[in-house]
Amino acid sequence: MNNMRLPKFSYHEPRTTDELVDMKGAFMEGGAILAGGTDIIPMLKRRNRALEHLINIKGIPEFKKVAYDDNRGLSIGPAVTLRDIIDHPIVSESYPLLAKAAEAVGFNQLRNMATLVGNLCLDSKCPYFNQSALWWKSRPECFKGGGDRCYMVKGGKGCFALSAADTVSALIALEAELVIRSVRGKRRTLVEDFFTGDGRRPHDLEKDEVVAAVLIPLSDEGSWCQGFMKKSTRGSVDFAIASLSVRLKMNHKGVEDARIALNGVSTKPIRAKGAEGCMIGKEVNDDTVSQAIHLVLEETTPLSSVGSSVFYRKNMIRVMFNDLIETITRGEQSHMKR
Amino acid sequence: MKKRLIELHVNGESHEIAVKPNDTLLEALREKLHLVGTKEACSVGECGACTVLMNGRPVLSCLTLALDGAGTQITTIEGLSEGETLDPLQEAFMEHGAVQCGFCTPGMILTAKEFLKRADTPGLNEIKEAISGNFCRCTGYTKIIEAIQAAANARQKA
Repeated sequence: MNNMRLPKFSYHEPRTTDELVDMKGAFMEGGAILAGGTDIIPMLKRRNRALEHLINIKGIPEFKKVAYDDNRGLSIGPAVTLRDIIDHPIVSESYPLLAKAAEAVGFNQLRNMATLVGNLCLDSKCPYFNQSALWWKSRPECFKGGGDRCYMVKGGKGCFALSAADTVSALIALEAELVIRSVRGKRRTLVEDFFTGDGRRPHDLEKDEVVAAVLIPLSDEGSWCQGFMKKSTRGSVDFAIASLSVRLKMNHKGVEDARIALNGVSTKPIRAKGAEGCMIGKEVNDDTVSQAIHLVLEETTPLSSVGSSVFYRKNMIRVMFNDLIETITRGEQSHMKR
Repeated sequence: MKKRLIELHVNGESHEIAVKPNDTLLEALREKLHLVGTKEACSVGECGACTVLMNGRPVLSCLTLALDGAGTQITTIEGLSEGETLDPLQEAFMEHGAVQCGFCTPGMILTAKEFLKRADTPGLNEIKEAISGNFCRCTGYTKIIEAIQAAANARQKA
């Protein structure tokens, strides 16, 4: 038995966004999107997910575009790879935070394939749910698989699979928006509001909807410093114990404005608004930073997972926040994977 | 599932093959073209054994549909040597004992090949980061890193 072959599906290659939207509207949850394939293909091979239709969106020309406009900022299509983002001159110059976050994803081969929108739409990750069909044969299904229990949080009343994508905190800190299309029309949502916190259905995306673009606004005038940091169990390839993005707008008195976002610690990303508010109007010193850390930890409810207990996660967030603030206020962008 | 005819450009040669939508590039290379130098290990994009170069960039052939390979230039380990003459990187792997069971070697060499194109004088950490998606369960990586470093140094001298 070779269960690592892909299951059967009917395969579609739309050439326009309208064609794609019609297909998704007809197939609903039976149709999945294929772009980079680094999330959906392993899930199909492990039989974590069943589907009837696979819709390859790489043939839609405008989906491969990164467009920049002096008034509106950056628009990134859903077939743009992380490699394209990292290498894009405008991204590395104006949005270095995003380039650093994209570089933290997986490893070289994955970044050459995986897309930014795919990373945003990454299914929630769980050391139990993401096992093979063979492993699941010997156990009752969990919530995410349609069952009645959670193995991550014993006795949990819902699914606690983790929101793991590395670029999410960066996009929240950059106040990015998504353009979402369906047969019913077009809507926009902040990346910050795109996550539900329910591991079974982690994104606020209806069955007939597809993400058509990510929009990153220009930051206002003033000197913003920014940084990204990821910590994972192993130094190389792993999902994060936590990933942290911070942007601070500095003036001669101290912090004028702040954006702080975290992902990888719980079922959804967190924008730490309390900590942002606490830093605004203050000088960056040990007192301010420790007050802000206290608030970040109050706003997050880290989960325990394989390789990282709640205690360890909380302490790592503390250390990461301290290091990142220190690095970016010294005028460097930081990217630490270890 | 209906098969489709595609044209696959591998190692400078063009092949017309019939594939199903759910065939991966890895399966097409190994089973249709019998290029078994490309290995399958984890099958889910974690180990890098199936790495091939697609338009010059390393990708995982186990997560790529064969249909998506159509119209691209693919290089597998078989395409690296010229006749009986091995690529300098292959020579370096042999000289430094960087091959034990050999299962990770094709992917490792192709990943390193593209990395050395980008990095002129790579440091130890850069090499480690570059091959972080290629698992080796035999060597402990030391010999592999030495081989890549030696290939880079030899190129500097040349």
